[in-house]
Amino acid sequence: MKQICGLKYFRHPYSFPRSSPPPWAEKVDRWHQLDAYSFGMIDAYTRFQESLERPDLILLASPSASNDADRQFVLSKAKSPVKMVHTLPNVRSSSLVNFMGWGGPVLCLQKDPQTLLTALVEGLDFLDPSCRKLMIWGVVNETFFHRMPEPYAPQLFEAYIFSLTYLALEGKGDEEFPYIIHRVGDDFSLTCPNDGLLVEWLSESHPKGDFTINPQVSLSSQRDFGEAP
Amino acid sequence: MVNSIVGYGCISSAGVGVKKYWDGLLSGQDHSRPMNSKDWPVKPPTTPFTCLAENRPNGLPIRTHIVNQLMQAWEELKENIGDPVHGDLGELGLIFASTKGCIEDFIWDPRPGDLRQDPLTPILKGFTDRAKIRPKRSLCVSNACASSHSAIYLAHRWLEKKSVQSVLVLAADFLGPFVVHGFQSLNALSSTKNKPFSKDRDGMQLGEAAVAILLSRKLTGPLVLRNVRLFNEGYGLTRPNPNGEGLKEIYRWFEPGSSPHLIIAHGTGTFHNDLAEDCAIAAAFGNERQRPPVTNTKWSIGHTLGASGAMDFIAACESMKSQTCFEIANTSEIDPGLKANYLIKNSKHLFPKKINSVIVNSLGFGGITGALEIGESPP
Repeated sequence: MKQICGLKYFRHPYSFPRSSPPPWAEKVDRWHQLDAYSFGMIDAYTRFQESLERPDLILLASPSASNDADRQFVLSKAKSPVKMVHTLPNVRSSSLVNFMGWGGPVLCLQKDPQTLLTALVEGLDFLDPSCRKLMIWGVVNETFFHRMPEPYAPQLFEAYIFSLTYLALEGKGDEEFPYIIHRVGDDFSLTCPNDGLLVEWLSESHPKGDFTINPQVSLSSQRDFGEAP
Repeated sequence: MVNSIVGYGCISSAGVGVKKYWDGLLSGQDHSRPMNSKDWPVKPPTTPFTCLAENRPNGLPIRTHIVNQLMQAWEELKENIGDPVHGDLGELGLIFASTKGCIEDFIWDPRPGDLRQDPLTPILKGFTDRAKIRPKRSLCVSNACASSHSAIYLAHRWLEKKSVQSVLVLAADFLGPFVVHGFQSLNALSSTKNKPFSKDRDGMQLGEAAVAILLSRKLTGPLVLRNVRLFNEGYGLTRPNPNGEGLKEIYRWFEPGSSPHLIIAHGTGTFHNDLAEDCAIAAAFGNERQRPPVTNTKWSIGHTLGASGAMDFIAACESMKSQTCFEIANTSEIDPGLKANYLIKNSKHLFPKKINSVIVNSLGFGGITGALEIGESPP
């Protein structure tokens, strides 16, 4: 079986906490109680909303799970109910779903160090004529992810959005999409070592060659981006 | 598309094995008890498995302990169906569902690098190493207290897509100071008993469990998973929509016009959960006389968090196999504001005459809602 999917990729770096309300503050109940991850997802959504289509499914890919939020709860002497609710990694999607005015299935997946890659492959498997569009969200604390921690640095985060669209079983890609994913067969093993390499490749302005997730699944770039998206 | 329920095994506060769990439900035994993190570590329990943590050999990492519990559930499953490792399972998928129990090893005093690794994947790997299985695909799911339903949803999809022949769903959670402190901070714990749907319900009791469920595309047994759905309603972080909109949305996907013979409710015993479930059930099965009876399991084994849906799945299967069900034994008087038909204490006369179809509900923090339907294998 040959499957072709269109991919849009968005990357949203941000720092947290903020000293002033975000532009969307009035639309979110108690925005100041959001944790860094929930905050970043809404912030990224408002930034890229025009380019995102409503999905049939949302996959939450959570590298490092909610370890960061868990630690924040511990540092509150394990007493803060607001911090407690964010210790469940799926909860970070709740405010976004509400903000989007959307309802539907959400799955929170983990498989470090290949959580994003795994979610991408799972997403590919979900796509068919009954599930034509889906979003994969990943938010990471940069010091936990692919960069080395910098002492005394402010807390930097990045939200990653992968918007996948079912195109066809056969045929050419669609020029609307900057990246095309080709899948042949149904081998789900991941041979690409980690999420960091995927993010690195997607962030190149001139991706050279294809990005191979496994021998049967590869991403190719259709555009010269000029600068990182 | 239906998938066969090949077998299952579990360990819970009722003890090791499905039989002890099932016997406890039938005989009205409450294995749960109040927990207070101020007294941590808690005093030895009245039954040996109330808190699995207390049975953990000194110094054993909690991750290893959880793998041990999962192995016990897996061994029971294998014993019940014949060792599938050497049988005809075909290509296998493996999904592990859990919430917070896996973080207790490191979260209080993390070493450099501890926080980078998600806490579930090492348990998945530990299990595959111990069980000596080589799944074609494997993954961890953490969707709050609907984690088991979410894992079963994903398994159903894998089987539907024919990417694997069978899926082993593992679910486990562990009670440590983090979880108990967390629920105390939310004022969600009962200081007495868990009394779902009761007029004087005041919260949940926590429990622990480890479960293994094997599903297959090949129709091998008398029971099948007919349907499983998820819906995130995004209403609130810690409470469902009071009208049960998420569950109502899911019920619309189930066979129109047909009522299950039994519903196993999530029934945490908190005000908001029980109200939302009741609204959804009453709306979906509107004719009062035809509304299916509703029961639940948390009064007996506590709320086993990420494993709770899997424990309810087993109770649904046992109900169908034995053609009997069980009461919500801690509840003597229903909240007069609720409309569904609850099987509270001394309601055996309301038990269904036949049980060929059971719906199992699940609700979790973050607005996630799930329901699945178990039925008889088609002729």
